[in-house]
Amino acid sequence: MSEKQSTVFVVDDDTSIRKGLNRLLKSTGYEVEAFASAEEFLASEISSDGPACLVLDVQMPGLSGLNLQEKLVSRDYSRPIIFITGHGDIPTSVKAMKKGAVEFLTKPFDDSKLLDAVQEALQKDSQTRTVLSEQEDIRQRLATLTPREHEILTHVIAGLLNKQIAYVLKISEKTVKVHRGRVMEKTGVESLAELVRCTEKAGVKPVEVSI
Amino acid sequence: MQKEREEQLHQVDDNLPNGMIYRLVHNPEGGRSFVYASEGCERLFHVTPESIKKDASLLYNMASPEDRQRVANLEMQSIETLSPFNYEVPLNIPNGEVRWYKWNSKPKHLADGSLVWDGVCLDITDLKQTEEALRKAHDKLERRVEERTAQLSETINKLRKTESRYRTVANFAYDWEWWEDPDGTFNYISPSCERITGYRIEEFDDDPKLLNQIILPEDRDIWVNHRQEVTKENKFREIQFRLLKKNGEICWIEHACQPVIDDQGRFLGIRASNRDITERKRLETESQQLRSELAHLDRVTTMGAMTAAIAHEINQPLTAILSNAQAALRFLRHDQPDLQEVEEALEDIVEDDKRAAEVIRRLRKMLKGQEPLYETFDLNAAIEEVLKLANSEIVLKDVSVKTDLNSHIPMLYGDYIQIQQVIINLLINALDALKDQPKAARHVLLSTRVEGKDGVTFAITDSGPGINPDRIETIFDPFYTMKPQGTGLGLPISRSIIEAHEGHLRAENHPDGGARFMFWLPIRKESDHR
Repeated sequence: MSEKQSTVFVVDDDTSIRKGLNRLLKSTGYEVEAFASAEEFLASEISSDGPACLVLDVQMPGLSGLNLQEKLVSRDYSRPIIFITGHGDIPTSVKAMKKGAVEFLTKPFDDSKLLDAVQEALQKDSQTRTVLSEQEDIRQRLATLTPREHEILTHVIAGLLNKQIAYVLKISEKTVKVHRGRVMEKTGVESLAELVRCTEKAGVKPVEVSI
Repeated sequence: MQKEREEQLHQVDDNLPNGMIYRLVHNPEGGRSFVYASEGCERLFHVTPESIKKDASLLYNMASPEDRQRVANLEMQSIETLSPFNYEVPLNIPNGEVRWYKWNSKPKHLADGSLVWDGVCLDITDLKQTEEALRKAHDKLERRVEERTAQLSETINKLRKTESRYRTVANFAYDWEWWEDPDGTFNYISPSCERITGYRIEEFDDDPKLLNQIILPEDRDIWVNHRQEVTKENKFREIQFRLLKKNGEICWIEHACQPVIDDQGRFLGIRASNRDITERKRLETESQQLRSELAHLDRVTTMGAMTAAIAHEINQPLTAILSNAQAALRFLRHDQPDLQEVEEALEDIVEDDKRAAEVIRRLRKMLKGQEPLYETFDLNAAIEEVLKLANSEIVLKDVSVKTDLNSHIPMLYGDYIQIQQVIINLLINALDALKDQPKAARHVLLSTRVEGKDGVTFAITDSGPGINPDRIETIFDPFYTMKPQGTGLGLPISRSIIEAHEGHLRAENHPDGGARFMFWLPIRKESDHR
C-alpha cells in the first residue's frame, strides 16, 4: 500500500499531454502533480515524503527537460527522471541517461512502457530513500561523538589495534578502550565490521597512518 | 399726198432726236441707195441726207470692212427671204467718234418690182456704253464670285484635309474609339471595333443595345456602375471587362472614357477608347500561373523542411489520445469503474483528435492549391494560424516568439495562403538566423499596424546577427541562399507574391541589432481588384 503515497511529477508544456499523462497515472493509483514548465516546477515547494519520480518533456520553451535535469543534479535532488520526447534522437537520450535518467520514451508510447518506467523509478527512489535515511540516521548518531571519540573512530576503522592507537595518539591503552566502548554505544553497532560499513555509508574516512 | 407724207415723216423725225428714218432701195443691177433719209442723218452721222442719198457708200464706208461684209450678208439674207433687216454696227463718223447704231427695217417690193427697206436707225451708243458698263460690272462681280468661290473651296479643301487627317488617325487607331452624343447614340466609331469585337461599325450604329449585350453577364455590373459614375462626375475613368466576340471568343477590354465638355461648359457626349488587352491578360495569367507554381513549390519545400516540426505537432495530440484511451480502459477495468473519468477521457480524446486534424488541414491547405484564390481575409488571423503551424518548429529551435498585432487593422483582399506563405518564409528565416545565438537571446517579434489610410504593414524582427549591409538587396535574388538546404527561392517568391498584391517587401537591420523584414499591403476591397 506504500504505492498509494507515490507521487509522479509531470512537467510538459503541452496541455493535452499533461491531461493524458495525469489521467493515465491516476488510473493506476499514483498521485500526480503536473507543471506546464520547468520554471513552474522549480518554483513549487517540492516536498513529498513518499517515493516520487519525474516525467519530463525534453522540448519545452524556456528551460528544457535536460536543463531542468542539470539544475536538479546540481541541487542534489535525487528523484529519478523519465524523459518523454517527440524527437528521440540518440545523442540527447545518451546524454540524459548518463546523467541518471531512468528511461527515455519517444511519443507516442504505450501505457505499459511508461508505467513500467514509473514503477522502476519509484522503486529506485524507495531504495535511494532507504539508503538516505540510513545514512541520515548514522550521520545523526555520529554527530553525538566528541572530537576525541571521532578521532578514535577514524583510527578504529583504519584497522588499528587499541595498543597501536594508544601509541599513535600518545594516550593510555585503557583510555582508548573507554572511548572505543562509547563509540560503539553511541553508534549502536555491535561489531567492528558493522561499524566499518556504517561509517563507509556516512562517508567517514579512516585515518591514514603508517606505523 | 406726197407732200403730206413728207410732212408727217418730218414731224416724226423731229421727235427722234437720236434717230433717222430712211428708205433704202435695192437696185436690181446691184448696189443700193437711199431714196429717203430724214434730217436726223445730220445729227447721227454728221453728213447731210442729200450726200448719202447721192452716195450710200459714204455711210457704208464708216463701218469696218468686217462689219461691211456682215451687213452685206444680212442684206442678202433679207433680200432672199424678205426677212427684217436688223443689225447693230459701230461706225467711225467724220468727227472722229465711233458710235453705235441700231438699224431696223423691213423689206417690201414696190409696184415697179424694186425692193425697198423702210426703216429706222437709232444711235444706241449710250445704251451700248451702259450695257458695256453693266457687262463689266457683271464680269467683275463674276470674277469676285469666282475668287470667293476659289477661296471657299480652298478653305473647304483644307478642312476636308484636316478632317480626313483626324479621321484617318481615328480610323487607323489601333484601339477601338468612339464618341457618343449626349443622347447616347454613337457619333463616331472607329473601324477597329471590327478587329476587336468582330462586329462592324454599322452593327453598333444600328443597335444601340449591342454593346451592353456582348459584355459578359458576370461583368455587366462593372459596366453599369461605371456608366453611372461617368455621367455623375466629370472624370477620366478606366475599367476592365470581358466581352463576347462575334466568333464566340472572349475578349478582355480596357475601357477608358471621359465626358467631353466645350468652352461654355456644355456636355457634348462621352469620348471612349477601348483596348484589347486579351493578350496582356493571358500573359498576366500565365505569369501568375508560373508564380503560383513556384510559390507552391516553395511551400512544398518549406513544409518539407518543417516535416519534423509538423510531425511533432501531430504526434502531441496522438500521444495524448493514446494515454487518454489507455487510461479510460484502466478506469473501466477497475472493480468499480470510474465512468466520470472515462467520460472526461473520451471528451479529451475528441478534442485532441480535432487538434491533430486541424494540423493536417493547415498542412494540406499549404500543400494544395496552385490556383491563386483571392478572398477577403484577416491578416492577424493569418499570422496566428502560421504561428500554430510553426509552433513545434519554434519550440524545437528554442525561440521566444511574441506578437504585437493591431486589432484595428482592416480586412485585406488577396490570396490568403500565399500571404501566409510569405509569413512562414520570413518566420523560418528569422528562426534560422537565431541558431547561433544563446538561448536567452533568441527573440522574434511579429507585428502589424495600420500604415496611413491606404495600407497595412507587417514586420518581423529577430535578435539575430542581422544582414550583411552589402547583401541587403541581393538576398531577394533568386537562388541566393545562406542555408545549405534552402532553395534560395523563399525570399524572391515572397517578394513576388507581395508585389502581385501591389505591395512591397523589404529588409533592413534593426537599430538595436537583428534583421527586420517588412511588407506593406494596400487596403483593397474585392471591388477594387479588377
